[in-house]
Amino acid sequence: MNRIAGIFVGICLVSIVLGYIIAGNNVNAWFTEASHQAVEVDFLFKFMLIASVFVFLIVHVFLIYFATHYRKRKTDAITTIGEPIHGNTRLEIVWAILPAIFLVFLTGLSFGVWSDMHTARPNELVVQVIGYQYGFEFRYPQYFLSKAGSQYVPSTQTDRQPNNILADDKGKWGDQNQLYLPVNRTVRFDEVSRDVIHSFWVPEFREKQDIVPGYITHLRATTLNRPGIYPVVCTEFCGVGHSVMGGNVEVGGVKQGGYLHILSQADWEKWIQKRTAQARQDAATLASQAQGATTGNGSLTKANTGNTGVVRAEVSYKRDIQTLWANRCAACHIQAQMGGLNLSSYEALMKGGNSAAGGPVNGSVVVPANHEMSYLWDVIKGVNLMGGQRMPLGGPYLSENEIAVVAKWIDTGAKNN
Amino acid sequence: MATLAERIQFQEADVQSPSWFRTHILSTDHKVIGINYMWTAFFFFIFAGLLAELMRVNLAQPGSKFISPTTYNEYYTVHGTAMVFLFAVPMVVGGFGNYLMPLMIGAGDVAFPKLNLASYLLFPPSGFLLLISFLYGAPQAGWTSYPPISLQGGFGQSLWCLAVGVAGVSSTLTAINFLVTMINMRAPGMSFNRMPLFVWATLATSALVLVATPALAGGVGVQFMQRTFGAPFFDPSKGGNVILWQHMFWFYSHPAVYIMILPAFGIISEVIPVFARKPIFGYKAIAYSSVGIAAIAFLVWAHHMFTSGIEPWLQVYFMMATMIIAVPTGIKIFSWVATLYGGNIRLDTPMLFALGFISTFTIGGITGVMLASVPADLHEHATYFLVAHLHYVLFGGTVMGIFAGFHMWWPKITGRMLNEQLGKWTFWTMYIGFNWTFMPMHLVGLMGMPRRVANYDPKFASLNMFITVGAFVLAISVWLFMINAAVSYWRGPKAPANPWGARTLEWTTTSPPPHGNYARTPIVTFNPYDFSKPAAWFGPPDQAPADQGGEPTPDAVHLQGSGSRRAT
Repeated sequence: MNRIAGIFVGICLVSIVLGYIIAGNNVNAWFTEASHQAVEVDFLFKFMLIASVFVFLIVHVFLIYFATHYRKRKTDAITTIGEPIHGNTRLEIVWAILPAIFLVFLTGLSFGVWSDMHTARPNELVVQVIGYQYGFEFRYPQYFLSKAGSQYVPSTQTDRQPNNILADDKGKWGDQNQLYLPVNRTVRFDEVSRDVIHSFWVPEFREKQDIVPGYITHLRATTLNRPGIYPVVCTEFCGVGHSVMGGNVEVGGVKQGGYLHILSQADWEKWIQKRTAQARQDAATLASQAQGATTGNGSLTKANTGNTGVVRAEVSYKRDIQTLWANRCAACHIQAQMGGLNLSSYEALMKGGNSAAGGPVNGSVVVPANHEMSYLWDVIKGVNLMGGQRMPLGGPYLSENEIAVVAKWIDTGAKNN
Repeated sequence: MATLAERIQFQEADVQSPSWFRTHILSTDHKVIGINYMWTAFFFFIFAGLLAELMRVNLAQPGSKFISPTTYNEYYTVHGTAMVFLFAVPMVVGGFGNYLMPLMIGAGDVAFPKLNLASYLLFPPSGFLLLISFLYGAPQAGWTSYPPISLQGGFGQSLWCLAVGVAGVSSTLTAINFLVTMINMRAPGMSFNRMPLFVWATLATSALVLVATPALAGGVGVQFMQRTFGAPFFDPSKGGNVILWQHMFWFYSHPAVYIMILPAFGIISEVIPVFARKPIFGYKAIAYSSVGIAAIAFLVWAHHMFTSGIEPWLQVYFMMATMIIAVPTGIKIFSWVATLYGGNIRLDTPMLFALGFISTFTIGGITGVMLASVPADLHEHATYFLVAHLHYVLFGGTVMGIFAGFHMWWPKITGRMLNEQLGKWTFWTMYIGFNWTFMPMHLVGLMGMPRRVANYDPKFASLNMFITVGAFVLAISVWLFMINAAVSYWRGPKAPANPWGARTLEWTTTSPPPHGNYARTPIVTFNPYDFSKPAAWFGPPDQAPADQGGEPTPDAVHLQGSGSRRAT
């Protein structure tokens, strides 16, 4: 009995010493903290780690001590049995009640940190995070609400309707994968998804929040005075390009993934002014385009981002089609080969899809001179899908003009020109 | 009453020269069905384990150079699905439950032998559906298959829904069968408080399966309808809700964790008293904590969804409930350790696995509490920290328990002894390989590596290479077991009826037991772990000795009792 009490006291002392080391240890080389919440979560984690060391030692030291001290000796007869101890009610009550008290205390401590994370603060910077396959888009509605540059009006109506954020200026016009924040500022992230569930995680913030279709989800972080570049990671599996959203990932020697840039106050002001000016310029371009549209080219107003597609007299594969793939299909069909379809070259395209790799079609997706028989045209148009889905998956889809360009290329023989 | 030999003869005459297929596949004997469950589930363990090794090869260096991200996603999805639905649940419930439970309660078979056969016959087709999905592009949405990503997948994902649905039907049928058997078919004298702890665990598990599985069956049914007929359940643009699936899935899959771990608890509770040569410490506490865990298991499911955007007050509730479930689990661990006190411990292979189980499962329990705390979970969730936690619970817990069970009951099942030396090697390679593989995962997770990625930040490269090497050491241990099993099966020394000197009923019959299990119905007069009391009575009922066991009285002989090797 005395020896067991001695071991117990010894474990307590060792735990205190280890706890002191853990609590005092500054492990910033591996675990940088970039937000006030990160400091609190780390405090909570270290507290739990110290308690864990204690529980770990209690179980393991007694396990090893008993297993060696009470093991069968060579001299013991085969019939030797241990002491017929059935239990000890007092001891059993103690080891049920003490952990319960500790866990209630831990719940309270966690609740404190949790409440702090959920408290709104004055002068919050609002950042809209839009998750899509495969990337994050960041917008700063307090500075410019849309590509057209209108002003942000905080409204619960807007904040509760994800479609209001997504419908805003159709397409990706915010910053792709690059997030800029000032130091010492509480940021509220309003997160919406364009397709599937993603999750917005900055490891240095120690916080993540899923981006769920049909919802606007929120996350708060108060940046510390630590300017620098930190990865932004997607932690909810979102498809074949999920790991590309993994932060600091290389694909074929090219850096991919999201980054958070925490800027000093002066740098931040410089940056946001420049960005707002650019939004105004975008708005002006958009207005002039709209004017052009009213004077003739009506289909342009329906156009999506990037390559709006102009149907030329002669379509070139290299100039028109391959560029279109590079702009709109690269994440799934050049960096990866979803459904076995590879759009990196003419030869690879003509090889077509592979039903064994998850595609609905096995073999060629192009029937030269007949776009209506070509599955390639069907999927971008959204007709005769045969169990597949309209592409690009989840939209925004190709513009009518872009689809017409592809149709024309097929009808003129699908040549490699 | 007929003698054993007469009874065997009678039953063999039942079927005229039965074919091998009849006696080994279509048999309604619970032992044959249990063995069939075991080898089928073990096949999927090897298959899913192979996928894990291939994933580890891919992750040994960044860049996903070994397999494409598409293939990686298929592998991790099928690995998780097969390990949970085709290995862990069928192994512990269908395999160990079927083989041991009727023997342990002194019954001749389960209550509905033909239903039992039907449950088994549903199991290989379920696995077949998952395997042939590779021909159509295997599912790529993870074993959790959250919509909308699972709705984008090809035909393989529909096969996933069918496979999980069929597995669910199979385990529900087993659960009904087991509950009826345990309630109605216990031998005379086998009160609930004299049931071996494995039977208590099976009782709690069967109740969990029965209540939880319909939620999963509903979930996969709905997902299948949406995929096939365009039903709007998970589509927000049509008024559906993507979180709905998560609730349906975790309402099953959180209890499923206990479905997988409770029978392993039961196995450990059988092994430890036998090899410590003394009664289990706190029989009632261990038995009732299984029931307590089963009850609370239904109240904590949304702790898997802290980052999903559920209502904040719900997060607080689920945090409290999850913390509380650590208490009954802690009671079990402390009781097992206390059982060792004052024992006469034999460190044979089953005991090593049991001690290894306590060690690794404790770590899994600790990280479980860390994940239960919502603010900490916001950092740890869906990272490699979570991967490590899951494997400490399901590999360090369930698989260690299963291997303890393999080594404990192999002589009973096959009538042959395993090689003890090779068994010890199996344990040490598994224990070292396991910790080598999964302990560093805590660290990479906290440093910022998300799970389910084929490619990662190059700064995690060296740790990932280290982990991959550990995964190969772990694989060696499984090979060692298979070699040991194969050699023993054909050349092993014959096993006596009771090689370990255990006191539960299954050791009183021959190894392997005959069809019908017992020549005479045993009359239970003792607590299963009382090594100082006589064994069960097999004589005429009117000459049975006076009731000897009674319920264990915790304070009758407590820590102050006399003993030859006490520290004071």
